Amino acid sequence: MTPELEPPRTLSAEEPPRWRGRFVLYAVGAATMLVGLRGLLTHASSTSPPHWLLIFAGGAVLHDGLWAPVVAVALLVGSRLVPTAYRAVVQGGVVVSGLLVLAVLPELLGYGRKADNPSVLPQAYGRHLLLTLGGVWLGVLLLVGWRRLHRPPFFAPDESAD
Amino acid sequence: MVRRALALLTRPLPQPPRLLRQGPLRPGRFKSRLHNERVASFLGLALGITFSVCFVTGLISHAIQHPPSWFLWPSRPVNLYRATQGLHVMTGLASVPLLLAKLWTVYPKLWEWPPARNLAHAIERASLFVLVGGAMFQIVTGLANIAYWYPFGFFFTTAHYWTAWITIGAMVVHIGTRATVARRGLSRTSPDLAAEPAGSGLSRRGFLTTVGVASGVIVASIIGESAPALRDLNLLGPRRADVGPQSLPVNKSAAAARVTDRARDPAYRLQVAGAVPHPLSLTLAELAAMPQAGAGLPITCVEGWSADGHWSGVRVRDLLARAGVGTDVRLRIESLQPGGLYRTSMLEGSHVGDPLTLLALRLGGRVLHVDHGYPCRLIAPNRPGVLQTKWVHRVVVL
Repeated sequence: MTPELEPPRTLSAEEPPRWRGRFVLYAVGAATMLVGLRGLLTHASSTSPPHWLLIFAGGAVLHDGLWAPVVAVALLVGSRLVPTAYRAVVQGGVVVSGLLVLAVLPELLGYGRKADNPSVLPQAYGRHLLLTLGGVWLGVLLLVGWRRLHRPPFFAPDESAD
Repeated sequence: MVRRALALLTRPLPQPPRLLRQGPLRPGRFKSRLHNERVASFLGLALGITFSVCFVTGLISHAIQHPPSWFLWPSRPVNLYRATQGLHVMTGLASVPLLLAKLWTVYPKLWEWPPARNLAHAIERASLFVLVGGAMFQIVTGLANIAYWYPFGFFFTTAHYWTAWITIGAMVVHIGTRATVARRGLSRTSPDLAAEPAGSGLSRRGFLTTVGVASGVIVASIIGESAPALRDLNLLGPRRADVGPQSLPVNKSAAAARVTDRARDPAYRLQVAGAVPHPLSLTLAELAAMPQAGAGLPITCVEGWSADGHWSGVRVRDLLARAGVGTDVRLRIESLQPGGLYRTSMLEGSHVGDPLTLLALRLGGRVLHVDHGYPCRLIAPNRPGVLQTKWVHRVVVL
């Protein structure tokens, strides 16, 4: 007989009582933030607060308002195209590939190249990215093959074809 | 007084009309099993570590370049700065997947209802906005900076430095609010360990593994620009340690520094001036006739790359001895550059007398390329590249 399990925590689960020492961290954190804010404002000629604010607030707003929903919908729709048995590992491959492209986007775009200094961004980034992605997807294929032979506990059960 | 303030902060705010609870605000909108406390706790812990490493190594780099009176950076070990700055950039790169995965895991919290339960909750959410804004800012500007791309309208170094304080401050506040939740999420008795809802996509463990693999692939494809042993892995690094004039990368060319004509002027003299009994003015031939020393030292850039070179030239301490002073002095090294933030650098402490601190005339056995600082450049152990002043023409003893 299986023992009754406590349901897993969703993010909105009842919070445990907060740590008593938290007020010390609030004070230290607020003071640290003020050091940064003061530095930004006293060096306003270098930090250009309007431009700074654009990137600071723009990053959070773009992420929450556009990036996160687009990625969620794309993954949800895209993963339906993949048989359930391989869905997890293909999703993993897509996530790794997307994150790699994002991280090296400035190199791919190459806007930092300088005519007088060929040692900046000297590599064939498009070709090298394809090579690296090839390695990632080779790994995905190997996992799919392995999955056909085994059922490692690494992957969650997929009884429900949602 | 404190009690009244607390009462004010925790007094329930009026609920917004239920009519507004639409779209993502509706209950149960987010069904993925990955929006989960344990996943969020692991990612939060990892980010806490990488951001702390970035902050500390960033402070070190800042202090070396703008030293407060109490701070003295040693000249040994030779590769210490190479390690701290390489770590700074690599942990920043590893944070890209961690940050995006963390934000995605806790995304339903953005749409919690009611948006603010009380004033304290509203302040907490505002501090989260600062944390997310700061974290995105640091990652985006850092990624662009290592690729020499500056589309921002502010000076990268200053903005990145002060925003680091804001971000770390917001992180400390966040740790204060989430410590017990994260502890529960990470504990071996977490109910999340036993039961995972069925689903066809990535499991929680699979998701965390994916994020770890993504960080690993990103770092692996770039780390070769910092770590000589992994040079062959460098497929996507913004630099290659062996590409550049005399097989060494350059940050600022002679043309960009508007120094080419002055550097090639046959009337060039190296002056040793300031508080010295015997000021010197030496031609390039006279410098080359002095005892020459060799040093295998890296150029270690603040952008995270580093590349080894074999330099030879005159030891700074030999030059000072000829001018009649010891090594217990502070020096200002001046470049022929007409301007720029890095026209001069300070040389002090153990760097002055270190036998590896040279005014180099040659690289790899050949006369310095003008982009590497011909006729004469400073090269010293354990020092950022921006302080390895090129096109040196004056050494001022302070």
